Amino acid sequence: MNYQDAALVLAGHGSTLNSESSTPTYLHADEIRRRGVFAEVHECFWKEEPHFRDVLRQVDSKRIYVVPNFISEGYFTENVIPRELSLTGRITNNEEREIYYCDPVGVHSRMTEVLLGRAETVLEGATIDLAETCLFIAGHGTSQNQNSTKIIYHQVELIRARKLYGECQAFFMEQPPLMKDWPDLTAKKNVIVVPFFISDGLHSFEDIPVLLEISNDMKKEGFRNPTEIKGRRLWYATALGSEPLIADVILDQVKFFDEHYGSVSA
Amino acid sequence: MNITEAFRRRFENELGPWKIGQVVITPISGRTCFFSLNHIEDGDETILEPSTDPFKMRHWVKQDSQGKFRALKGEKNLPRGWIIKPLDIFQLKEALDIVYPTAIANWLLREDLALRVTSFPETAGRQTGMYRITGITTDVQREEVTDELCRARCLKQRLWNGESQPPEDGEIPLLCPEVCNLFIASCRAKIKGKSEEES
Repeated sequence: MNYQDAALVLAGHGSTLNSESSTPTYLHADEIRRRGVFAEVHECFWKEEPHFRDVLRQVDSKRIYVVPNFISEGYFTENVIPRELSLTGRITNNEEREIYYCDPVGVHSRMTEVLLGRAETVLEGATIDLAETCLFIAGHGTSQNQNSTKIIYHQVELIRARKLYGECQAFFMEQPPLMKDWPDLTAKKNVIVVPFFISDGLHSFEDIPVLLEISNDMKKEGFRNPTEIKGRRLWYATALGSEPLIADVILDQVKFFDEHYGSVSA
Repeated sequence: MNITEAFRRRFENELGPWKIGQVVITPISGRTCFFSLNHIEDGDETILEPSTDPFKMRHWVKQDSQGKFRALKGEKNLPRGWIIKPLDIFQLKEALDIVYPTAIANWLLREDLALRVTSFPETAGRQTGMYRITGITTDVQREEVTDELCRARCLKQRLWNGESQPPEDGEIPLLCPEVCNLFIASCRAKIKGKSEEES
């Protein structure tokens, strides 16, 4: 790939409370910078500086690829980012610049491998009966945009088709099926939960362990894998966003854009 | 405008020292167009962490001296004790873009009369989802947030509120052409009667 005349803008959520929320976005931006693929690489955030609204002012290139470092298509990728960056569609012509709006990282086909890799890693070599195991993919869920759950159900279908686990299901923080109801959602003895989140921020690190009842207070108590609850064992994985493979996923989304939406790339 | 090119030209014509926020940029004597960057209150005896890497800046701006996360980059709590040198002009801009994101672009665009300023009603009016409610922020609430967040904590000049002053000689101003997400979140908290906000 050669994008020596172009800029990459990686758009993440960020946080005003959690200093680690933006870490995966910086991590992948640094890796892509190190590879020297683009003339310039910028990060921007909803909750941190530089904000979505401001970042394009400091970009010099005339061709700009924007890749949302978000886990799904939904409220942020369809509403907030286009609005704040003043995008008019897949390709925006703006003051002699062309801005190419790519798909978010979470919808890439390689995310299935990332998910399964996380599920395997969290077991730390423990031998369990996978037929007697339910893999839950945990999402946020929102009333703002139904698309945010679509990708999670899609991943569930892909993983079910591989027949690796006895069951694979989706559950959510804010919409049914609710993750707090997990003991009623499966009868399997082993449960693995992988949060389909970019960063181990407020939700995946603090809220979800409490909803799953594997911790009363993550900051004070933490949790141990596996946690035994009502005769069943539950393993909880870390968020997907720090996976090194995601730097390649970001570059793939740029390439995918060129192949399908026809920028004038090299 | 090519910001990096404009920045290079500006610094080649006027080597400094320059002040920006809580940071001072000093030309390194004997090396044309190489600079050092450090906290304005630090001197040789208080600098503990020297570096040559502009991206090391990200580590230093993340938390204040008490370990509290600095979500507001213009906050007057930049920790001390570090220096980055030597930085060529491009590395200098990279480091400044980290410590004060978009400040260089805002400054140069403002000088070129090309910086767009957005009023509070326009920013609040385009919000959706949980922040849609900020469209009903009263003048009193907006002024309270300006006092509590901007005037009490942030070094930026509020162009969106018409409060800017001309910079002093050798000063790169920190400009705020539009309220930030923290301001919008604080308005929401004010309307809802909460003390802090996060989504």
